[in-house]
Amino acid sequence: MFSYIVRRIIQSIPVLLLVTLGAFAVIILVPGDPAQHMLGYNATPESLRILREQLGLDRPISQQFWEFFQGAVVGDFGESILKKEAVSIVVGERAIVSILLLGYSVFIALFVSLPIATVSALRRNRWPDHLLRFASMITFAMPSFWLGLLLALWFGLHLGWFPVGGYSDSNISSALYTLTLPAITIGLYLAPLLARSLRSSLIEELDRDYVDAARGRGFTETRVIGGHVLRNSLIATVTVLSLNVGYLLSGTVIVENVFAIPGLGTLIVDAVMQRDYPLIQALTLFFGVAVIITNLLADLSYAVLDPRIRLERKR
Amino acid sequence: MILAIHNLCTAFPGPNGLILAANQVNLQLRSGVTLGLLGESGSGKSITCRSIVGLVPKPGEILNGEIEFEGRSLRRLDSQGWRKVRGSKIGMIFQDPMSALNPTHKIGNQIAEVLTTKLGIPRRKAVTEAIALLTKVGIASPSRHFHSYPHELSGGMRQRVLIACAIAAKPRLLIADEPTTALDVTVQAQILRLLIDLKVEIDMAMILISHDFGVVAQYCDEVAVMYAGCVVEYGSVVDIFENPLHPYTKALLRSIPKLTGHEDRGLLPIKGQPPDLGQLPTGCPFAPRCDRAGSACSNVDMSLSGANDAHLSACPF
Repeated sequence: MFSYIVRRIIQSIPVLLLVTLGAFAVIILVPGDPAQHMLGYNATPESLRILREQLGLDRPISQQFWEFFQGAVVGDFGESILKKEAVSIVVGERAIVSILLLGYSVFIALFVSLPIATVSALRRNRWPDHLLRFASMITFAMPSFWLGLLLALWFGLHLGWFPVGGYSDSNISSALYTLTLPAITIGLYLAPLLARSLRSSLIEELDRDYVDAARGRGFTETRVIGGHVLRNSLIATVTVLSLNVGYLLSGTVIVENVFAIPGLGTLIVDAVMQRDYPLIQALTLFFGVAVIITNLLADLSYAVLDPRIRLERKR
Repeated sequence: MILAIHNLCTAFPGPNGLILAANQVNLQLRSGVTLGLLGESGSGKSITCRSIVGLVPKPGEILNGEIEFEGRSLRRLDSQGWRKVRGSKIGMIFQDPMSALNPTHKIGNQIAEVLTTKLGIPRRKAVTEAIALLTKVGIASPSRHFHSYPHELSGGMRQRVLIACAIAAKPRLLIADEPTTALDVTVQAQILRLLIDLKVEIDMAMILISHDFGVVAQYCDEVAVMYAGCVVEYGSVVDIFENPLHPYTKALLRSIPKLTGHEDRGLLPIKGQPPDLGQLPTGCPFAPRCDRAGSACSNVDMSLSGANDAHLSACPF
């Protein structure tokens, strides 16, 4: 198990280096002069020169990359042009909100999809299965801005249970309270995806001999499903989840906008609009690293779920 | 009688109506006795046994008949009733040891799970007992193998683990569905010997499903021969092998190749094909392959009868 973890971590190092190179290359690959883009075409040659110097664009590319790499290792990406603050602080503040929102959404998605998938698989092709699949198709097909607005209208305005929008970070419970409706919006998008893959792997798993063997030992159906079948069906679901988490970290722009949540999605849109290159670079690297980490976590959970995946030799 | 089956009919929906996988099966089993259930693939052996423990695979279902275990009916037990019977009273060993263990749980924990849930033994003590059970079923260095996963064991060892699971709660009846079919010949004898030893030690009755005459002859006290879902002959091992009554049993015995025959007779297979359960002839299903068949065979109702109650045949001729 330990050597499996170490091997997986070592395997992700080259990817990490490539991602760093890619994040750095943003500034070179975009056609035209970054300084000109940022300051507009009325900029004086003097101000352009100062900005180029500030961004290090006047130095050779290899030296620029080395400086970027050194900065990236310690988390120093320079100052954001847009926010007039250190990039690391800007990204850090937003990242906490986004990670919290995503974690909350995943929790809701699992909370919804586990029972739905289990009932669907056990009552496959009967009315509870059809009903649940129909219902999850509807929430999946609903665009998130529309679902978000409906939730804000009903639970925010009409019932007044949750705030219509905004984010408060005075403490963790108020942060979670303000994130509830956006988390439900994302969770209801994610839940059908998870439920679908879990339902099909549950059905496959339920047909295996060990299930009837466990029933033959006189275990309760709850124990057979919860203790044996569910765990063995989770691998496909972890895959779907990890792919979506990597995407959703930046893919929640619409939901963030609907609920006025200061997350990473809105930040990257702002940064691109304003050509805030240091910020774009830092965010590109951040998303790359986030995807690597989610994949790493997914790999590790495979190994926890299925001992056959730990290719370690015993003894 | 520990087990009595009366007129059991278990059916699956087929393209042209119901397919009777078990057709009017009647069986009796006294405690401590080993009954061999003999027949070719598709003759209804497994389905009969799965009917006993209520694990007929869907969409199959028991249509008719009565199954009495220790004087109580097993039909229409609710899930709580089954929980008290399965594992505790009736142990079941399935055919394929490769797939009957959960691949993601340690084998020791799978045995301990039976002990904690069926006997209410506390977890720590269950671990000790599971190791003792591993020793009992002949697993070398049991405390180390407690932590093994099924994929780390050979087929024979996995079958031993499954046997340990099945006998952990000391059932009164053990049903072994072709326990050695998936194993090497050398391992087969060891596993069967182990089953018989455990049967004697725990004082269980046993149903041993097999398609192997040699296995049944060596390890069973009584034999029921099945064909196309019906029990065609029932009797003691000696009766069945020395004095077979039903033409199918006779044909089967003739078809066994002998190494020590006086004449060079070659193989004597049963002519024709095993029957299609969806298109059985009326009357005796063996009639199309029987060399003594006559017009009266289509009126045979396949009920067992005989000169004495210990040796019965479904063929009245």
